[in-house]
Amino acid sequence: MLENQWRSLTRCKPLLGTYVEITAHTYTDQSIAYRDLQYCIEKAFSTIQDLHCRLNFYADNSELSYFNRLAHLRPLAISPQLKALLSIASEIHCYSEGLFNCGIGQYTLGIEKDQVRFGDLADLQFLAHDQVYANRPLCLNLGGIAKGYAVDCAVDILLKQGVAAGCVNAGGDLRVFGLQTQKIHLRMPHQCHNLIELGELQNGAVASSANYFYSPTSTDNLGQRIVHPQLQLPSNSPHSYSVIAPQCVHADALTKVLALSQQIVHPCFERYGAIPFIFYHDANDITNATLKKIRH
Amino acid sequence: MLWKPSSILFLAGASAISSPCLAHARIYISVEQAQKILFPGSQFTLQPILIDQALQASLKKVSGVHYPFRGEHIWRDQAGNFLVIDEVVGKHEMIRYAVGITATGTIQGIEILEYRESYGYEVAEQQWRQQFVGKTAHDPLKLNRDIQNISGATLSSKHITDGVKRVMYFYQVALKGAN
Repeated sequence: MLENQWRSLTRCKPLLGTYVEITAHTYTDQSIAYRDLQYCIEKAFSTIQDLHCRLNFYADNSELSYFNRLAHLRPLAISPQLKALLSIASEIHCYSEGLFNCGIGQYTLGIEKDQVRFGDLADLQFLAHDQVYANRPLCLNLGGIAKGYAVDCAVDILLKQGVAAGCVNAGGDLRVFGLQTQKIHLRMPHQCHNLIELGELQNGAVASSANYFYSPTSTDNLGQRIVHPQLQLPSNSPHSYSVIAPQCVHADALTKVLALSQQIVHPCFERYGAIPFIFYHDANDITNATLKKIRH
Repeated sequence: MLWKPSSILFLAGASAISSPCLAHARIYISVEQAQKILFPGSQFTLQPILIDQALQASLKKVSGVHYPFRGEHIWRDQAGNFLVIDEVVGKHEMIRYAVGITATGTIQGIEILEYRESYGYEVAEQQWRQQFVGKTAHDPLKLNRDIQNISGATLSSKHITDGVKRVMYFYQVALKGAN
């Protein structure tokens, strides 16, 4: 009985503007004791808490706000965490031909388009000694990638502590790790309380984007919606977009590429070893490139 | 990374979605575990407080939370630390959580104790129970593991933020004096 050989612990905290759930499993005969799982989970939560404080677009005292305010004035020395995330974001921005773009913060703050000409990820210059400079004033909102990055950092901490297997789920962007495969369920876009079994995943991440928790007429949730970087308009698509990838940071960011491009064959996915899925609201159907080939 | 798509995905159209399972409820930790996590080594005793209408009204005004605050789940240790258990009822969820408040009035931590979706709707409640059909009391772990990893659009934790604001106001007006 596999169940009897495993002991697990799950905790949940409100972080990153959502609910972050961490599950850690250990073998009963393993060196890491059950009570140590508590300590490992605590360490993972404090890593996420730290990132929550650093990357919060809406907090004036966050490192991201400091960066947005000053990066165009002089080269800024920033933390390795922020630098790593900005460099991943810039890379995806480049490979997605600008579809993934964090330079939309001014929209979420309600600043008029013509008021200030803000720059985006393409304006960043990565200099020596962890310094970054921006060619234009910035209003970067890392909401489209930070959760995935935080999930990866938490998983790294759990693995370093010797946790055998587990899952970190930041409000639906999740990564599973360990030797066993784990079932992944996806919320149905039109009935968000219903779940569909997507498949089984081992050592990988899934992220999803959809507007289904939000009313299209409400303005309360603008910060949660995907904004088209070129049109500067929020997406009102009723469909649900999911991406499976080895790293959660890539899965999270690529859901935005999928939602904006509506292409399940965008070259960006192959580069990151990602598998995209679109769940069509009207056709009540889920599809991706492989399924399309098999069905026809 | 190893990925095995579910066999039902290979069916096109509505038939693929013929038998969805219903979203979930979860108990993370007990009140006693939350006490141990937030204040290790402390011994807590229950110290319920009666909330009168005037206090209830001011709590609502300050936090914007309409659901009444219940004062029966308040715990205090000898050092003057408090653990307040509260619930938030959102459109999609009911969440029971604990706020640890130190003797100096700062937040020690917040822990989610229980998460339930489709709360408050009789029909949904009935549907929710259906997912347990065929499962026995002997395999709760397996059941839990079956619906453990759910991907989907982010559920905002704004309700908890408002709830914590209410708990901290309650601490200021009703608990702080007790120390």
